Order: sequence, then C-alpha cells, then structure tokens
Amino acid sequence: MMRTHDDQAGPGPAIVFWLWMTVTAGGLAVMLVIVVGGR
Amino acid sequence: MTMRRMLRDNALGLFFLLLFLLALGGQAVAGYFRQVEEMAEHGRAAVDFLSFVVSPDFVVDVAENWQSEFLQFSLFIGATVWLVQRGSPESKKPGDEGLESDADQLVGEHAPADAPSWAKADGWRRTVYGNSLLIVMGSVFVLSWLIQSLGGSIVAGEEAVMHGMPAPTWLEYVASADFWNRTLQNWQSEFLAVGTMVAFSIYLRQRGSAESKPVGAPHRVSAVESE
Repeated sequence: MMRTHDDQAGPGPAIVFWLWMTVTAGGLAVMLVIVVGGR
Repeated sequence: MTMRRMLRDNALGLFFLLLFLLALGGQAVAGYFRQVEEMAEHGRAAVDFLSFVVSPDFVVDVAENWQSEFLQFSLFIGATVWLVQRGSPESKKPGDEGLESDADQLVGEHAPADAPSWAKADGWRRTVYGNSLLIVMGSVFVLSWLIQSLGGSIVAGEEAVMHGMPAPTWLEYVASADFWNRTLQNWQSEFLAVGTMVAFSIYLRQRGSAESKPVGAPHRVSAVESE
C-alpha cells in the first residue's frame, strides 16, 4: 500500500502546483489576448 | 515547518520554475535585439522592449515551443498507458498495458481514507479525475498550438504587406509551409528526446536519478518490476 508523507507535507506541494498552474494558464491567457487583439 | 525544509521538499518544482523564468527573460532580451537588428537592416525604427514582448513576433516564438513540449508530455502520458518498452524505467512492465483495475488504481471502494475525493466518487468525477493530467496537458498543447497559428498568421501577414503581397487568412496560414516548418521542427526534436530517453534508459544509468533504474538493475527489467 502506498504511504506518502502527507502529514508532514505542509503547504509546499500546493504552492508549487498553483504556481505552475498560474504560470501556464496566465501565459496562455496573455498570449491569447495578444494574438486575438492583434488580428 | 521551517522555510529551509519547505524549500528542500519542493526544490525540483521551484528549480525548474526559476530556470523557466530566466530562460524566458533571456529569450525576450535576445529576441528584442534580433528585432532591433532586423529593423535597422530594413531602415526602420525599432520598437521599444515592452512593445516587443507583447508583440505577435515574440508570442509565436514562445507558443511554438510550448505546444511541442506539451504535445510531447501528453503523448508520453497517453502512450505509456497502452504501450510498454521492456527494460525502460519510463514504462510499465509487459502485460500491464491498459487502464488497470480499480484495485490497482486505488479508486472507488479500493480508495484509501486519504485518497482524493474524486477518486472515491463514482461516475464522471472519477473519469475526469482519472484522466486529469492528460486533459490539462493536452489542453495546453491545443491552446498553445492555436496561439502559434494565430500569431504566425499575423506575422506572416505583416511580412506579406511589407512586400506588397496580400496577407494570408488564418486558414491559408495553417496550410502554409511556414506553419508546418515551425511546427514539425519542434515536434521532431521532442519525439527524438522521448524515444532516446525510453531506449537509452534500458542500458544506461544515472545513479540516484528518479528517471533511471538503480545502477545494478538488470537491463531486461523496468524500475516498476524491480520494486
């Protein structure tokens, strides 16, 4: 059975996940606005 | 939890975020200077740095690399469900092809108490969550490829107008040599990198790396088999 270190994980993994989600989704949104606005 | 401990526990994700931001910044600066040189050659005034960063020229260069990376990982995630490579730590062992049983995947009645709630749920929630990595990575691929095509058609239009030619429509650009040259030159390198990673890791090792089998593991077994 898989056992993780969840009880000691702290907020780090969630911060890393949302940092990357923000960078990716934010990057896509900004690029979309630029190319749609440029047409 | 101390800050030092938190940084160490999340070093991999943060290290690549820092590298990404530095490389993107470097690309912006280098791309801007190339633009300045090109404008000077054509005897035209250069745009300022901020205008360049929000221009379709910069966006198309960023997006064409994004789409190929996200295609690479989407294909890798999807293909490793159904295809195996004996001996590669990137692969499941032969015989394990497919979506696997609920017991293997710890879903529904097999989910542990601390499982994600959508893994315990039935129906569409479990299906969506069970494919969420591929859904998100695949969506980023599709969106960034669309952005590449839209940005590329603007840039191609500007160049055409400069040479006294009519600007292509988006559909004409998507069928153009420029679009497929930009697309396929990125795809070929991604497929090469994935293929070599799968193949080289059968016989080659990196001691201590999660991407490698243990140094003494036999060539014929995957890391999964040796567990």
